[in-house]
Amino acid sequence: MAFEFEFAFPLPLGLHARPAGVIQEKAESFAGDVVWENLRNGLAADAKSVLSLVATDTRFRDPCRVRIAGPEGAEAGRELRGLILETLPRLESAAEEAAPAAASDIPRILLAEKAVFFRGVPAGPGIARGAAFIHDPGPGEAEDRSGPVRSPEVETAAFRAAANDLAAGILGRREQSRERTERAVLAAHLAILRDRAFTAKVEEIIASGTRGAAAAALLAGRHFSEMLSASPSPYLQERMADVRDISRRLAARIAGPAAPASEPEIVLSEPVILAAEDLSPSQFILMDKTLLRGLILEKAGVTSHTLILCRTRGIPAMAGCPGILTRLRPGEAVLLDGGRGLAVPAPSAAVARYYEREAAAEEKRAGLRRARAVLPGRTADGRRVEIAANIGDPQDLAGALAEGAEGVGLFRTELLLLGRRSAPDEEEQTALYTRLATESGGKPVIVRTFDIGGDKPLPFLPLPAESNPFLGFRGIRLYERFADLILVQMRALLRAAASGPLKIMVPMVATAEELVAARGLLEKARAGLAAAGIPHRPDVEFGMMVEVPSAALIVDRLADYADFFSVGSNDLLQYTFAADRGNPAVRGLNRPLHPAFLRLLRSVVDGAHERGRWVGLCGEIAAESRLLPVLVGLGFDELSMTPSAVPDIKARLRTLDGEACRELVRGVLTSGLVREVEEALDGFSAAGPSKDGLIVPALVNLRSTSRTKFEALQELAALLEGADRAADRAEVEAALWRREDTFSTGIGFGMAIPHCLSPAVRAASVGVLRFENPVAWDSADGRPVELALMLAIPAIEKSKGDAPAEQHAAPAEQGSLKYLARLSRRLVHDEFRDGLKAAADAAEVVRLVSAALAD
Amino acid sequence: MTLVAVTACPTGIAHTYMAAEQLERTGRKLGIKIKVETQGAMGIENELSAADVRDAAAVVLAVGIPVLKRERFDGKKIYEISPQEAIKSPEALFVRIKDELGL
Amino acid sequence: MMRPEPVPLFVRDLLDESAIIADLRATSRDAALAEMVEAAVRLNGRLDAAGLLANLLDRERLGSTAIGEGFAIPHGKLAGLAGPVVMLAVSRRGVDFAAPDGKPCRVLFLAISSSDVPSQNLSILAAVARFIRRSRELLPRIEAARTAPEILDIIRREEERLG
Repeated sequence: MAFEFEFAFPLPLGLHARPAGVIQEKAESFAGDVVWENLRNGLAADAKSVLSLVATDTRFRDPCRVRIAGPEGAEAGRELRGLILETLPRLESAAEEAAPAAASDIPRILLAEKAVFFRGVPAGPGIARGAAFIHDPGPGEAEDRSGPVRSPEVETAAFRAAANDLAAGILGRREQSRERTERAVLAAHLAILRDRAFTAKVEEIIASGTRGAAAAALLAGRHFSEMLSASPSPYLQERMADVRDISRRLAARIAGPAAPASEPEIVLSEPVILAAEDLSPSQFILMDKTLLRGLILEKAGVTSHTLILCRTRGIPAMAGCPGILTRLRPGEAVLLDGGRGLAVPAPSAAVARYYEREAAAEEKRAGLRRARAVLPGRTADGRRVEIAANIGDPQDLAGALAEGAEGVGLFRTELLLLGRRSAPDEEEQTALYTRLATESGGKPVIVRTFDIGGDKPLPFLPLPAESNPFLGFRGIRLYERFADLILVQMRALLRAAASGPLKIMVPMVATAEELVAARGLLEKARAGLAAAGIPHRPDVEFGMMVEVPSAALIVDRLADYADFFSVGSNDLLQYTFAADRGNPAVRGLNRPLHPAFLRLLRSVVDGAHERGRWVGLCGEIAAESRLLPVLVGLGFDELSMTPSAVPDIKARLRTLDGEACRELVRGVLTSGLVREVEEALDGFSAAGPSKDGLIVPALVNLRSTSRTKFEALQELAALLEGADRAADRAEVEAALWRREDTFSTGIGFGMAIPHCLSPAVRAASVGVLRFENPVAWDSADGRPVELALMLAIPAIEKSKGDAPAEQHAAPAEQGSLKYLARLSRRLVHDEFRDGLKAAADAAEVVRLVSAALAD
Repeated sequence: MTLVAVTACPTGIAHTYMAAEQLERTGRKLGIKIKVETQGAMGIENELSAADVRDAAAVVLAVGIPVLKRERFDGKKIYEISPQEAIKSPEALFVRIKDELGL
Repeated sequence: MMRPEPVPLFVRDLLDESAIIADLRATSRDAALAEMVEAAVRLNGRLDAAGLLANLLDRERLGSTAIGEGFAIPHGKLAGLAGPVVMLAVSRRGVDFAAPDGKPCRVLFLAISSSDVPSQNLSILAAVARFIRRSRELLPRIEAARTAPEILDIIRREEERLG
């Protein structure tokens, strides 16, 4: 019984690899064939193949028909229709948020100077200048290097083994990845590798007997990438790069490590901006980077490993810039603006000056970032809250510390096990944990023992198949059965703790009995080491994750056996609300601001503190700036998060009053509705700045050397960032320009009042520039401007590129708007303007402005 | 003579209030009573009542965007200028109004 | 405008008890500066900790402000300061400050002056450097003191003795 249905394709970005992967997965679960037909162009596909689906070039609102053969037709059809029309649009909007930021507005000076420039995707912030170096290895791609063709059976076996191997590697990396976008890309790679159409094509070529496995993989890769390249969609072109990447890696894997490297080494002799079609991570690692000022790639998403490596080293980069290899002249000077995703060849003097100032502002920002990294996490009133990082790879430790992490709140060890045929032995683990202990610079590192379960099957750990692994045999529950594995890990941890401040934490504890048993294992490990005379630290702190409500409710009793606690909020949330966080239909129930959850957290914190125990939190909510007042108010001693969130959370923490946060939490614990808590939190955040906070000396420069309006607005945005009041300097500058576009803010009298409402403004602010040489501003009276006074206000609703009128002052800003209106009124009084123009120093400007606000 | 005015500008945080202040202080200087409503980022403030409008000799709109509740001024003599003009040369405006209304 | 000749400053006039950290906990340069900045911010809530620390760290990147024999004079300028901020910290364990003589720093004088008064910075640094240079017994005496009042007392007496 076949079943078919028609629909208009609902995703604005068309059917690209991510949704195709979801559809393929569902189709795969049906016994019968599933055929996807795009009625616009007549292209049909096997829905059990991602590549085949993607090749239908299905775009937004294309009429499509899906036909399902086999016994479960009707029911399967309804399921699939629900998936396509309801689930996919929701998944997509979530994925959109994780996508890299689009290029910010182009600096106006480039347009005014009619400069030639190229746009790409911002892939590593920073300004770089260097000679263009074009790396073009030519069209010949890595060819078959596997030697003579063997029998089709042997070659097919070689192909399948290599594909399995590669899939295991990608799977392992995906598990390790903490970044959503990166995980999605790796998942797409995996889907290609396992694609039916792809596999069939490779095996078909092998079966013809003329090609070996490696050559067949390359040919199949070329076949599909040519098919995809026919599409005008940039998404398909990106997938084309993925297909080629996968087929090359597959070919290399088949050929084995003995095959000669095919990628030429890059040798630099002067400071350069390197432009290449693509660059493999190994090419990047091998080259001398002392002369590499910036990197431009024609292809590759911003999640490519090369670009990630580039960012780690602070090298400005831009990707997705097709055709740039042929348009840059080798050796010519190039400016690269990695934050905006712009490359300017042969810049004019004015553009070069603008970018010199941009680089200086960038350096100042980096200095502030370094300073913030050193400053301890504390509230404005001095309450200490440690801000730590969650990591899964010792390689990420240095980066986390550079972001300002005050320790590692969660090191996930199960990643060591993934993609392996046997568990790492004691020596290997000891070496790895020792590296953590020594490289943390004396900062605490909490290592969580293996957190494994049926959802992450391991070849050396026979776990039963479970219908619901998240409520199953996992975490500490399997320590008894796999005591040997855990004993080895605990021995390694005790040994490593001799060289640095390591702590041990066990996962998924539900009862005191489990904790006692785990302590027993630790004791046994200690006794074993002592008996063998192996150096170790006997008194390592031993703590537990609080992820299960049954544990959360008796933390005061668990304190008999645990030295510290850390709330795993991701799991605690889903266990509290009984809602699978992976299930889009119910995950909305998991609201961290729900009073039930807050009461549970309160009982954890109180239980721990009552017994003098330290308590942290290491789930995703620790990174949510909006929730910070609540977490601080609950009394957590530590918050541990993804490293990239550390600087912002630390900065926000310094603006909070710890006592006020406590009051806030006390006030909402008796609520019954999430909405009440949210309103209280928004009201709390809206307390806003006092009039004294609107201007500080750092926002005043009475000796500005800005020569043009371009430089002046650039400087004002930089002042705001330098005073820690802008999340994104470029966006503030763009917002100021959007306002100038309606009509000049030059009001005459030698004065201008540039202003903006922008989500990139962190706090309502007044900035003042007095120019050494008056600046032309297209003023009402044609006079140049001696003094610019900027009003910057935080806005809600981000509208990139479209109507700026869409932005409204954040509700929290009503107070500051009133002050700024007062200030604006003062500006038409000559005495006030003259006072500002004659002010002796920044302090006097601050005094004058503050007095005007107080009127 | 009494006048009423409305000021409004695109962002509603600066020119709206500067224009309002300028109209008020120039009115004081020239001895002309003027009530100014602002339509800025904080919404409508110092709103003109029906009586205000009825008693006014003319309406000044110093605006860069469409005025809210414009129908209130139907049938009144309206002087529409940009907020920049109101800030830059308010006296000229008042002189023009005086001349034209013969006051 | 002519500015009057600066009157020679005394270190004792720049410090009070609350500006002295008798037992600095940090052992690294960056952490030591952060600890002093935090203390300065506690005394003067209007100071911006991150901006101030960035300023000090930038200065150290140009070259160490350690002057040898266990002393360092980290310093920076900040716009809009009402008056200079001077702090003194004593490290019992020593701080690696990349000193020219390689010795760990025991006594740190932190001086932040207003960038609006360019001469202020120089006269403070001159006063501190002159004091350290002339007083041979300063380090052991300060180290022997345990509390902020004791340290301040030693500085006062030493400076008065030197005249």
